[in-house]
Amino acid sequence: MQPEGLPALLTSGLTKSFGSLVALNNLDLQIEQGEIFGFLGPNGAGKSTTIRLLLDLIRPTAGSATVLGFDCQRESREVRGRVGYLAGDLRLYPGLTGQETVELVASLRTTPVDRAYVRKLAASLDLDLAKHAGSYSKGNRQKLGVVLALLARPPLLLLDEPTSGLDPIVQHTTWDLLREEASRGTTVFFSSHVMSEVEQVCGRVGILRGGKLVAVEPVAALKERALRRVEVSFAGAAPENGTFTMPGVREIERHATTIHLEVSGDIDPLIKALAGYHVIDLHTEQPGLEDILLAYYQPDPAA
Amino acid sequence: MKRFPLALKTLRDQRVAGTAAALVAFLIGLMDLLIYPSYKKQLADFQYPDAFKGLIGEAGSIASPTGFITAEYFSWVPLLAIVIAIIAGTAAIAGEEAAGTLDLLLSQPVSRVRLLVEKTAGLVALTIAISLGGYPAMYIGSRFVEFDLSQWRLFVAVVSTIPIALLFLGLALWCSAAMPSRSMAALTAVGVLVVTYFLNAIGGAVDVLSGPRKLSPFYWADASHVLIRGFDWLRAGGMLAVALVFLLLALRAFNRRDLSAGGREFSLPWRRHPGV
Repeated sequence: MQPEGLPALLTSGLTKSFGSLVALNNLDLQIEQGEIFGFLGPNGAGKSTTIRLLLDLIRPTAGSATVLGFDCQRESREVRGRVGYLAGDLRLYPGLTGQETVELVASLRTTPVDRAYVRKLAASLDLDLAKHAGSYSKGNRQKLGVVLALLARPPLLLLDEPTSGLDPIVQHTTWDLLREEASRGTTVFFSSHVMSEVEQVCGRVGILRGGKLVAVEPVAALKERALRRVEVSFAGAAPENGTFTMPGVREIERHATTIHLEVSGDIDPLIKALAGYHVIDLHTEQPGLEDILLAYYQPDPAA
Repeated sequence: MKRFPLALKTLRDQRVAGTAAALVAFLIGLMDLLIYPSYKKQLADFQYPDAFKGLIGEAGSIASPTGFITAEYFSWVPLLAIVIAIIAGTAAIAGEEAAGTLDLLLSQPVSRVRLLVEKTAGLVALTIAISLGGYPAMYIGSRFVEFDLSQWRLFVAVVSTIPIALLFLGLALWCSAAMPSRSMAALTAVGVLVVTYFLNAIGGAVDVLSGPRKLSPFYWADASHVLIRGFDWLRAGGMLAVALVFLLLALRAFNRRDLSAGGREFSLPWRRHPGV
């Protein structure tokens, strides 16, 4: 049972530089217990750096982080005792079987490991633990990584691109496992650059770009704020340029009888403005979260 | 639940190399004892060069049992244990870091101190086992041939090869813990091994090196000294103290630095980049 009221994860001004490269810049982030939080960003944005800082594998240049109230540097052993971790590029001992790897990790945990649960996990992921890790495919290595992260049923899971290399069926099984853990009160923090994965599982996302946190939002809000493309076809010639200029609406393309607009936020003012014209077709297109992310990933012109 | 899983895993990882090295030590020890009676007559008239003196230490003559076993066994067989200690010591941290498996261990509730201490314990056991590997052969061999040296002195001389092996193990661990590349750690430790070995061997014949020779641990690990005078606690203790200092330096270096995410075998310390 974890202490109530404490955030599962809290970072304050967390910064990491490697020489002149600032890999993570002043990260302030709070994740509550039981959340499934997606940490998004392109390669090199600082996602893995954040996770490695939380595990004390690397030390911060500035700032601090706590997991369930324990300081990630001063009390790192307590932190790791409460964390299940899956590395982005998981490396295993090729000479050990899956079962031997499980036993090695279990022997290092501070809480007892339920072998029946491990067997259930392996079965649900269709993973043969009797084989040597060296003979595993990328997908099977990743499955074993999921088993190792979950085996002690820790209150916080730090997963670095957990479904990378898994086939779609196993991806869904993994998401189900994560949802099941979250329903028990486990906090799940996972990095990804695949938006569809985040849409499937997460309640809230943080978006990193160039080491900076540029947004933290519920997935639903992120979608709501997304730009909507609207294509309007008129019975006659399209109204003259600037007719639909209003807050949140931008004209991006025009033809003889058709206008393409980009709308952010509420679409109602545009609909009301269109009511004065003979519209023969109206087509709106909700962009995927990938598009939203791509907009966030664009280099900051002010930078 | 296993009591010392990392120590046991370290032993398991090195079991093939360790068994092979101990077997080689055993076979060389057995062969040396068995060939001695027929070989000593030829050696009596052997005019060996001055440079060879460093290899027989205080024994004086290579034809004597002390000189023979010093030159034929103790001058190089302990190098096997040292080389295995260096290979296994550099694999302990830098090797695992380069392979990326260190993340798997250190993301568990295990402190870096415990990890290094457990691995060291496993490697100390391995080094001792290899170092002692030749003695049973000497015991068996002396049952069949006349070898005028007490079993106790032989045993003590074999035991006296342990501290220098542990000293190099400590050095390898320090390099392994301070450098993120196993190649660089191994290169440094092997470099020290080669330089100090030849410094001692050549220093026995070259006057100008007689002073610097004392900087070599091989000078203080002279088995003929033990075979003639008995176990030298001061020399052994000194080498063990240096080994302990290396271990403490390894702990300090390992505890302070960032760990790389693995995947790189060679990198220069000033170009370390633990991964973003």
